[in-house]
Amino acid sequence: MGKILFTFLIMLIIGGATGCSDNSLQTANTAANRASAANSSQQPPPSPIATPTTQPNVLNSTKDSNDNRIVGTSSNSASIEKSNKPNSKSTTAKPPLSATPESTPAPKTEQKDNALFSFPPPKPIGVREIDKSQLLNPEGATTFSQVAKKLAAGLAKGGYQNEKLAYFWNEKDEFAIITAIERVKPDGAPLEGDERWDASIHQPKAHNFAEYAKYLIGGKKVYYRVFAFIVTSKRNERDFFHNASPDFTMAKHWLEKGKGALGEGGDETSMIEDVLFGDSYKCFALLYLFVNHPRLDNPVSIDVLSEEKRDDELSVGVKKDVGEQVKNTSIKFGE
Amino acid sequence: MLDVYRKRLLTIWCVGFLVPFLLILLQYFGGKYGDKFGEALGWLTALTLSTILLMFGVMVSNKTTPLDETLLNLPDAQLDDQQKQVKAALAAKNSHEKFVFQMAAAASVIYLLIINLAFFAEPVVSYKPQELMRDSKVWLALFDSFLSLLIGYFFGKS
Repeated sequence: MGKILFTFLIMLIIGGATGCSDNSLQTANTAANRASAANSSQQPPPSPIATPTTQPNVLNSTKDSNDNRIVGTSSNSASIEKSNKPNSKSTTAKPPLSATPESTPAPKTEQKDNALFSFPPPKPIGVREIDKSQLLNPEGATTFSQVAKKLAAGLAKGGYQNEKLAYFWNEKDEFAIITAIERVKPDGAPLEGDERWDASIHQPKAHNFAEYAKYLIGGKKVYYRVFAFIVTSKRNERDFFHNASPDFTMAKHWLEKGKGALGEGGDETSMIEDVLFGDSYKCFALLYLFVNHPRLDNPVSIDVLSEEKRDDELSVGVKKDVGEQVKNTSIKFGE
Repeated sequence: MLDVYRKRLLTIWCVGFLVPFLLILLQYFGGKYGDKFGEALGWLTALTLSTILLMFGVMVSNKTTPLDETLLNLPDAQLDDQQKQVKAALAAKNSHEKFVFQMAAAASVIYLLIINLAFFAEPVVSYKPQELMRDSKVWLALFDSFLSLLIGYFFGKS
């Protein structure tokens, strides 16, 4: 009996020592977590600007002084420089009034808060211009406020009620309506019920044997989507692909960081909602798609999936066309 | 009976290892783990292969000579006092071994069930496979030492 007890004690000590040491999975996971913390996104470095003559780099744009502003709140106005020519498309950046004449403008920080939606926007999966005629006021001039209301009405048909929309804008001539992050099927149709608005990284559960077998062998693919509707006079479709793709955490926080209405909380000098939606303005729909799967540490944008690791197989079958995604979500403007 | 119990325990462990191993192979071809395939396989082998190899090693290198248990089949009337004592000792030993075997088998089944559940329950829970593997280690640690003692009883003696 004594021998058995002694042996049991020895086994307990050995077992405790084994339990304290890292196994291969924990070590690999710890290393993976450290790697993912060090590189919080898997984005490639930002693409070089396509027009080097006017935009030497994204952060210090000289084409537009308003390009890298923090948007949406008047408290950020201190970081914004005002150009001498409003609505000018090709002004060079003017130094702030407090700067000495010889000093060059201070480099602008693109965003103080990485969760804010910036102008120019992060790189989307796809862009499509929306027919302006669907957004114009038939009775006269159209303001940004009216355009925003028409966009919101069209989005409401797709299930995006007001609480699922966030508004961002710069000082005077660009605004964006961002939809809440949602779970969708590969063809763009949103999932049903509460599952649609589940922005967590929790995996879905199988509801029948076919799903069980599919998840058991192939893993669970979860697709997330954000729409961004940008009204701008400064950019064309190809201009949206200069920045890096957003990471999932950033996209998840856009809803809470944005405002509930255009112009909400803004100061009296920046009446963004009264800006006229003139001929030079266009409205673009931007599509952001993310995917989560057991082979990935975190959800990532589908355009940064690694070909080397064959993670790009996760984007097979996903509709990347903005028009199809909008159509499959039942969004309709102009009615 | 020692040989019989050893073979049964080895069978339980081999089945408990081979089922998830084959599943991991299927999942590898299904692209479930990507380059994390090694993590999943490493987790399984770390928890099971050392015990299985120990069992194999003992069985191959340590042949047991079965005790002559014919006395157990003879009625007491045909035995003298000494033979009755030997018979009683043999019966007690067999009973003791059977009890320990039942405990070892039950503990092995539960341990291997937890390992298998980390793979087979994953489609019906909200967690990734890696999270389940990590969390199940807490439960497996409860059985580690106990199981080592019981397995050692059968494979540690000649």
